[in-house]
Amino acid sequence: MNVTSPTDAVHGQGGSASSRLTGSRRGFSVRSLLPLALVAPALAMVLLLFIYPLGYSLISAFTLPEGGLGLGNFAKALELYSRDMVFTLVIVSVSTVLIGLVAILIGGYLLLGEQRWAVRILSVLYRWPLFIPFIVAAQCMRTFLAKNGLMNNTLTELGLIEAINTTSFLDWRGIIITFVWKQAPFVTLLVAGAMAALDRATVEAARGLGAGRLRVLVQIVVPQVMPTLVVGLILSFVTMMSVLSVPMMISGGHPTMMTVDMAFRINAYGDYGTANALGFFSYLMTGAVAWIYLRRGIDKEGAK
Amino acid sequence: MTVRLRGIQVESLSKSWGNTQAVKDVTFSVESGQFLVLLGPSGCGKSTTLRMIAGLEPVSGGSIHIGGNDVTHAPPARRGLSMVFQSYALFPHLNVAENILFGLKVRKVGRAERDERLKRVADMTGLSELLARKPAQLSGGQRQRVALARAIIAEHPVCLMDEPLSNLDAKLRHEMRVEIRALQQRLGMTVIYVTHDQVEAMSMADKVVLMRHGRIEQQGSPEEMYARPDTVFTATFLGTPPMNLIELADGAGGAVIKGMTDASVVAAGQGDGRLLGVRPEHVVLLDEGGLTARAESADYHGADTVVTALLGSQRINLRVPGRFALEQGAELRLGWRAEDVHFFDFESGRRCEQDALPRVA
Repeated sequence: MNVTSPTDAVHGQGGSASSRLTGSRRGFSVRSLLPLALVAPALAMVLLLFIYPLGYSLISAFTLPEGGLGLGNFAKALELYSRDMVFTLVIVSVSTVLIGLVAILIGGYLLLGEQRWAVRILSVLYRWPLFIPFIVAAQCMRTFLAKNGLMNNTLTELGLIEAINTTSFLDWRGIIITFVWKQAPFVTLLVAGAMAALDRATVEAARGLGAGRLRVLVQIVVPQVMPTLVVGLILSFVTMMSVLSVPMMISGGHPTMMTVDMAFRINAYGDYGTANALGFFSYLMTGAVAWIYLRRGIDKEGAK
Repeated sequence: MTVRLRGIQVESLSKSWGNTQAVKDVTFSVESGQFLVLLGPSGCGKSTTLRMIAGLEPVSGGSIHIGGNDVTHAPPARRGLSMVFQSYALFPHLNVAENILFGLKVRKVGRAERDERLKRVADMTGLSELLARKPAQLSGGQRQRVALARAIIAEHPVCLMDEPLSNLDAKLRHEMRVEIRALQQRLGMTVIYVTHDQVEAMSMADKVVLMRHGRIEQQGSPEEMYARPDTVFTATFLGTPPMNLIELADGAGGAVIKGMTDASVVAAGQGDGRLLGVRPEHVVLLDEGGLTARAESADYHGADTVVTALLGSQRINLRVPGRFALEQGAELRLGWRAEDVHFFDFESGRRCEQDALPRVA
């Protein structure tokens, strides 16, 4: 027969309360560590694969070949490749503008098109380039845009130009065409999604008030999807800044894009310093674009 | 500001998507300056009908004439009408003034005339102080006014409204109902107004077209439809609480209320397969005589009380003025006048003529 004295009971209760407290403290600490444990792998990947190489390349850009820190690599990059920097900026900027126009036109037709069969076909076709790698896209364009490529042969066969007058588009024009062909579907995907999410009644109201489809697109639809369009264009701008295969395969000669110059400095001379200095200028360009976007977002929030 | 008068004729209009027929053989007309309400429950085809009149939905069959012109296949902008949407459809990136003026800019109306019309319409709709605001900075009622102003400024003779008050609270809805009706009468506009709210229809319309399953159930003035419903659906859709429908049976000497031990004859002739309809406000409490009922519940509304009672096994509502002190299970004696009674065929739901016997001396 077990008899529990009042004191035992108190001690017993006290003991269990104490152990509950300890348990709860342990539970609290484990619970607080759990989110960190879940985030840690992703954080480690970012640190190892992004922050570390970025920091390393920045340091390398400022490290002189003879040792010590300085701006020698930047001076050399500017002296040898300033023309290519401008060329890169122009190519990517023009491509970005054209991608925006193409995305608006395709998205607009998907929203406002009246031929349902054409809308259906276009909605499937425009996505295809999304699944083609840049290097394959560049190879396709080489066979299409060359002097005796598919485009010129077709135009000649149709009697639109003389064979002798054909010209190769494998230069800056080819790079732009390839970029637009490859990136426009990505931006269109975002823009068309945003357009589909609009209140359809706004479009119908504008049509009812007498606006034609182009006016509805420009004055009603595009302003409403502008934030999505800008995000898509910035992501495309950054992507195009980093593509090596397209300028390399379409137009390897001078002027060319900075990615080709970086590859050349590393492969031909093992000159990581100049290559990283060129990379730094790349960061500045993409950073400037991102800053413009962020500023715009802050201004809009402020206006609200 | 007045608009040119124009009537609308809709003939045998139909709309189908694949095998689904949303609107079937709809025919009605609206006279110039008339306020017509397309009324019906959700999914009855009223909004689809309106969208076909607006040109926003291609028609599958039939024709639409506005001001005598066949506009069946004309684009929306060529129909000479304006539209107010349920969601208001304001352009979120434009301010109130730009929203209102959008249509005039499209039509290349001169700046001086635009400004003059804007001032007049803004004064009329009480928006003068809000012209620089964006739609997101407005309340529901203010957005509704902007949508109205945008429709009015066009000075089109016809205005279509697709459930424009459904997003507003009850008090504001009542105010806007009065305002819209007053504006329509002042401007002499021809209006087709879609709603599922029978109170809106009854209080605003010159003419009501009641729709059900894509067809017109009944059309006429609100008074006609309330006083003489052609079908059980019309009888029960209009009125709050709806018309009482009491099943009848054959009895000795005429039709009696089915299931009642007190088998008083309520109508001459056949009772089986018939429904007797009487509105709650037409049922009266008697001191003696009439039909015996048991009080079940009372719903106090302020000005009156809706009493629910059991007539045999069938429920009946009656409206009594003021507050009604209900003793549950108490015996009530109910009656009605012969001219307030309607008869319907149980199977078809259609009105049939029969002689009611007066239950009130």
